[in-house]
Amino acid sequence: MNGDTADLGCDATRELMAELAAGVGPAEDRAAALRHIAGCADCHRELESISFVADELLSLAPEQEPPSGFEDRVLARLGPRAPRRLLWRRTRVAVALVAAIAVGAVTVWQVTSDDRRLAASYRRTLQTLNGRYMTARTIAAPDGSMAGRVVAYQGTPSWIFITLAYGAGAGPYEVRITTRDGREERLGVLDVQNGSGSWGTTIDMPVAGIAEVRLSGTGLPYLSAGFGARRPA
Amino acid sequence: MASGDADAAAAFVRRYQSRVYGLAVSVVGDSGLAEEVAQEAFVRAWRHAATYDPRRGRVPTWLLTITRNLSVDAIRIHHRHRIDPEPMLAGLAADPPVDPFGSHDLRAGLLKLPPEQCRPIVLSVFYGLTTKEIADQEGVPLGTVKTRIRRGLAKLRDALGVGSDER
Repeated sequence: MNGDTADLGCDATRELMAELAAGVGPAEDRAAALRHIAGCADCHRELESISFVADELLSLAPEQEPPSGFEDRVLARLGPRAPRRLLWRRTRVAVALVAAIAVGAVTVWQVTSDDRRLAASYRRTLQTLNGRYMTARTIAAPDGSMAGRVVAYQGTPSWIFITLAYGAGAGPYEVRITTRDGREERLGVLDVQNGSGSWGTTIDMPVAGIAEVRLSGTGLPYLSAGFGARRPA
Repeated sequence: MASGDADAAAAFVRRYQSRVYGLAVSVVGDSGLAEEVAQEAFVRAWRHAATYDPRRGRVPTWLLTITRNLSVDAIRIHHRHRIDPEPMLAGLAADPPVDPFGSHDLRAGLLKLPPEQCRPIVLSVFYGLTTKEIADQEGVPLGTVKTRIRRGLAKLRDALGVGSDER
């Protein structure tokens, strides 16, 4: 394997996929393969799918309860450092927020009349729906482009609605939600034709608890929409 | 630790401890070392939660990847270079009483693989052996090991229904 910047090529790169997925192997080989993958969409997809399989294999390991007191020992190690950093971070955010509000309040009041009208309209809509808030996220395609949008509504009931317009694929997408505490839930199926489709459903979890909405289907590109930082942040 | 953070951390540990410890002890084969690995996995995950990218997989997958990496480091530090994958294979073959993550298809696919493909995949994915190390341990040419792993992973990818553009 050469250590210079010459392109490794697809065949040689794919020989190294398993080691790349497992994060092992000589550093220079991996660097050469990653250089090739950075400029090769086919090998990039290949590595993604092989890495997915390798990661999923780990979940097959048999569960086993740790020795008694394990949880306490872990929590003792987590304990001393988190709160100070968190408190300091929150304090800095709060101070910055108050300062920004104080400086900008008058100006904002003068120049944001349109925004205030929009906010009033939004509040009236939520009151009519008996809801608390609504939020939207873009859905990312494997190439990083926007594949669609997901709207999530917190109310009674809460619901999500998805619109897609990406590629020219056809078939069913499995729609799944990952929650911020790590649970995964299958919501249903979104059918696409010529890459387009829309679908919605009620959800029995708070919108604030959503970490990610994921769409996967045989022969269809993997799509996902992140809902912000996980807890704990 | 603030009470809210402590509650969240406790829930996080309780939820995943049997999976993390189970993987660690399966790889390192020693309960004391496995606990060290499992503890460190939780500490790293908790302190580096901001690096978690939901697009790369679920939380348990991310946590298990951290656990695997730490386990591999541990067995290398303890110079356990010659690995017998058979106990791991036996553990992987056993269907759990509950399957919350829908692993049935992958497990079935793994069990269908011929041993000459299954063994190097387990040695690579779980124990972090390079293809060169696997070739040396199994007494098989390096190219053969690479081919077997590649073909085996392609079959597992099919079992999971993950897209492929394998030429």
